[in-house]
Amino acid sequence: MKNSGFDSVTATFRLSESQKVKLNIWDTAGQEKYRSISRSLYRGTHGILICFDLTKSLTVESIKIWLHEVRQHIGEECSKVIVGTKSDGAVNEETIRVLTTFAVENKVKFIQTSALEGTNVYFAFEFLIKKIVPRLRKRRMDMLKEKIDSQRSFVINKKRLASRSTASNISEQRCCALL
Amino acid sequence: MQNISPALSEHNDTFAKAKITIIGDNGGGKSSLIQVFQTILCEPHLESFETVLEQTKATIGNHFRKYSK
Repeated sequence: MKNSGFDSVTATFRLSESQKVKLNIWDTAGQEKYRSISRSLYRGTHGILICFDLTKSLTVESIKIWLHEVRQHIGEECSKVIVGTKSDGAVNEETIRVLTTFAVENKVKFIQTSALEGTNVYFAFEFLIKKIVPRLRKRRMDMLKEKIDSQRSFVINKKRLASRSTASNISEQRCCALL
Repeated sequence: MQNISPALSEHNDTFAKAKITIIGDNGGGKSSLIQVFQTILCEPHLESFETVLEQTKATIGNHFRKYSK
């Protein structure tokens, strides 16, 4: 399936009995002429799957280009998984070796998948989601704490202001009483 | 000890939202991967994805044909 720039799907992923994650999955076009459109989709990305066809030959440079793309447009904080696709086909052993070595050296997870057989497809997404969720949780906790702190400081300041105005009222009254 | 607001509890993760982007070279099987993942979520017991993949054909061609009419 070729994409005219991009395509997106939404899905709900059940992480546990009580935890669900609403996924917004953006499928980008691999063609160079759509690369600028794809880049605009990187904004707000929590996790990225970098796909490589296992049946084709691949060089380390090609992987580096994609990783550079991610680093440049999303940053280091984004979770990444390298996905080898079409593992059911006539796989190129050299491609697998290149990807495995690169993944080990760069501490990135490499998962071989087959969409045709459904092999490791769920696992690849699950692995990425499990890496994303703790960061999302931490970010939300930080935001909520910040909100609570700002509300607290607002209440404290309000109380201080109120006590100051009461004190000044009393002193004004005293002053008037003296007159 | 500081009280933790109920809003900070784990139950709020029920509907966490995550954006995932799939990148890679042309014809690398990105769309098929998504299509199959979506199918697995809806039908976890499905064993063959051949039919699913047959249905996901060249969107780019379809778009161009649609606009050129």
